[in-house]
Amino acid sequence: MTSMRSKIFLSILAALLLGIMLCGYFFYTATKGNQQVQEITNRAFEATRYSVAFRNSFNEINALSKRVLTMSSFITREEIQAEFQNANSALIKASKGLLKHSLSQKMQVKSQQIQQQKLAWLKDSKLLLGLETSDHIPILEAYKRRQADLENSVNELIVLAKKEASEKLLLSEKKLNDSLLATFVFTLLISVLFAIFAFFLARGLSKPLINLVKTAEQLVTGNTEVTFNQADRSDEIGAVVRAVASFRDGVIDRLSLQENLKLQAEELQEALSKEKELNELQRQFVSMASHEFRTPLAIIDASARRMERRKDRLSSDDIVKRTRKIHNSVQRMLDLIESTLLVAQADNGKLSISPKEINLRDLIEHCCDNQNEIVTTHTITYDIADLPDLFIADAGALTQVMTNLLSNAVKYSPDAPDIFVKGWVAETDIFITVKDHGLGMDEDDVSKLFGRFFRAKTSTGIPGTGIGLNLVKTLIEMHDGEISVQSEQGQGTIFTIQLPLKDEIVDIVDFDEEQTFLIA
Amino acid sequence: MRNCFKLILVFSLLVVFPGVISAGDGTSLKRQYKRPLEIKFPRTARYSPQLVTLGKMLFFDTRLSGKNNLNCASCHNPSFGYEVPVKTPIGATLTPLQRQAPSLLNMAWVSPLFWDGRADTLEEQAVGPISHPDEMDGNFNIIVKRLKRSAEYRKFFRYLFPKTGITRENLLKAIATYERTIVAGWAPFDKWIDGDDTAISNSAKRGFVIFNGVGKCASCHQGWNFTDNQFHDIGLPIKKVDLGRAVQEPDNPFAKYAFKTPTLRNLTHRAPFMHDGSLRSLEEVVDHYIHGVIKRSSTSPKIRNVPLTASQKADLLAFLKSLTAERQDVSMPILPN
Repeated sequence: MTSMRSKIFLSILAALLLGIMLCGYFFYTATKGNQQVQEITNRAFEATRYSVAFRNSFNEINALSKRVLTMSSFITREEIQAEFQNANSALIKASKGLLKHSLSQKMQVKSQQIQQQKLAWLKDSKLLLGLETSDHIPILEAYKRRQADLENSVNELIVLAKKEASEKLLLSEKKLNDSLLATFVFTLLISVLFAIFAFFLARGLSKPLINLVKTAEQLVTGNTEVTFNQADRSDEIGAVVRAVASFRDGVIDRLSLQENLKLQAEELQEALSKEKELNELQRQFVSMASHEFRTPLAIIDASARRMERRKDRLSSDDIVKRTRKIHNSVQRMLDLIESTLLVAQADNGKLSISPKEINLRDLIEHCCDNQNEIVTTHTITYDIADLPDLFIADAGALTQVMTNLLSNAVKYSPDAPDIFVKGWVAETDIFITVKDHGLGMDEDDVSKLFGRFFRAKTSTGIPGTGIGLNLVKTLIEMHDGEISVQSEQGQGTIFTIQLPLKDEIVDIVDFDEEQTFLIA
Repeated sequence: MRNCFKLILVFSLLVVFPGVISAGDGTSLKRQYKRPLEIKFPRTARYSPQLVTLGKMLFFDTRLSGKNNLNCASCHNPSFGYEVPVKTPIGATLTPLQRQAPSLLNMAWVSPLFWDGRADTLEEQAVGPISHPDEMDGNFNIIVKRLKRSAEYRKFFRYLFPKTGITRENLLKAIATYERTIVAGWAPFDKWIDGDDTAISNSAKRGFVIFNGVGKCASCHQGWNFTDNQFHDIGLPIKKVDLGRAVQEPDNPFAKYAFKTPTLRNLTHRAPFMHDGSLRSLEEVVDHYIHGVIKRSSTSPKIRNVPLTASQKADLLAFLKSLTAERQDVSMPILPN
């Protein structure tokens, strides 16, 4: 019997029972008080009635005495006897009533006093009226005094009866009021107790529910780290809490499942986009490669056919000319294959550099001379005197970078034959610029320039793979350097390489003898 | 030790002496003046209201006199303390009698009767004034005949005395019984004696002390009725020779000119005073005892001039006046025809 329903039911039942009891008590008190008042009223009425009756019969005897004692006319004993008997029986009845209907001890005492006074007075009366004989009869004066005393007593009794009645009535009323007040106070007390009980009951009901609601709200927001305090309760709330707790467990399961699914989806998405990218790259590569490989092959084929057709008329110069064309084309294809391989290596994370102490100036000079040799249409001017002799870098990578930049400068400056290379040191970095006055690019293209397979809009008609600059940027970044570009359409382009002067090598020289030895 | 005993002695005296004085002076003295509450009737004439009523009728009935012109109340008027306000009453002969009518107040306690005490009972006494030629000049045979003519008297007497009816003895008994019911009312003095301290003035209280003390009045006017029922020569000047008690006691030298001590109750209604009515007021009476007492061989040894100061006299008079009760209504009976 510990469920909430039974608790509430029992409380209401108890309240009802108490209410009925209080009503009963109230009714009982009121009825009792009313009865008391009624009784007092009756008794007071009776007391007064008997006092008055007493006084009346007393007055009758008194009148009779007066008549007899003034001795103004002759009244026979029988006449006196008859009148006296009537008055006396009434007097006896009245005095009995007086004794019986006393309201209080005081009145009882007074009534008894009246009885005694009455007895003495009656004795005197009887003697004086000649109803009894004796050698002594009371002196009239003494008798009158006794009579007056008795009369006074009776009057006092009447007054007393009135007073006592009113006092008793007041007292009874007060008592009734007191008990009513007590009942009221008791009722109030019980009400307060019930209110407190109801408050605690309501709190006992609402508090765990509110807690539960909060917990549920937390659960909704996904916070599964909630505790359930009331789960061990044996009532309805306990059941609800347990239900919510099991719901929480379900929520936890579902959330973890959801999380896993999300992760899987993300992985899938990633894989998918990677795949897409690869596909695009492959498509671009195929398109580029088919074009780029076809052109030198066409040149080689054309040169070979011409040589074949004119095999007899060919001068040695012609042969040299043709073979050089073939040679260049082969060189170009080789470069293409080389850079493609490098990119592939970079993509697979297999591209690595091996920095060594190199002569940077020589390297750049060599690249420029080489380019000058290959290209007849352009002149490459270089000013690299400010560069240091020794520099730590991968020579192959830097050669690749310079060759790429120089060939680009040549390629995209068809009408501007001068290409300038400049090198210098500023603070801890060395700077190398390759400047042309060729086609240039707009800003939009500049920002995308280093993307793989990207070709600027101005490059239309010029053969290229879009791999070169991407490879350059990769290689420079592998040297912890940066490459930037300044370009304006129709004005030309400046590529600036910034490479850090590496101090570590100095450290190596100073402290790592083996390394020093190897370098030497 | 001796000092200690002295101290105890002094203390015991201090404690006991005032007690003795107060006991002797106050309460015990006052107790002597306590009034009786009952009238004693002789066995021969028991009280009955009818008998008293008949006595009262006869007391006021002129048919008891020789010429139907006098009744007992002629000389014993209730308004004047059952006396008459003249020096001496005037009887059937229309001449003043020798002595003042004595008051009938409290006669139930007085014996013998008359100024000289010649009658032992009221019945005996009543014979005197009724039949004396100077007083009512009645004849009992005639009186009985007269009464017998009245049907009501016959009825009353037959009712009271079924065997004898109207007789001289029954008549006297009735009158005497009525006279025994004549009692002086409760005076302020009585109320004081009963404990009401404010009932009388302080002057009267001092007068009470003089009355019992230096005045020596209480040596004759004893008790609540203020009489010793004895006969004394109080040294009044003799204007007419009246031997008084000496007629009954010829051998007693003090019986000469001696008269019965009268009650002092209701004094103020009872002037003039003395057996011969020679003193007109209470002041004169007191003055007589202060300086008017004549010393002769018969003068009572208890009587002598008591020199009182004026204030003492005033106190004494105040006390004497406190002996007068409120006046009582005395209704006239309806006499049978």
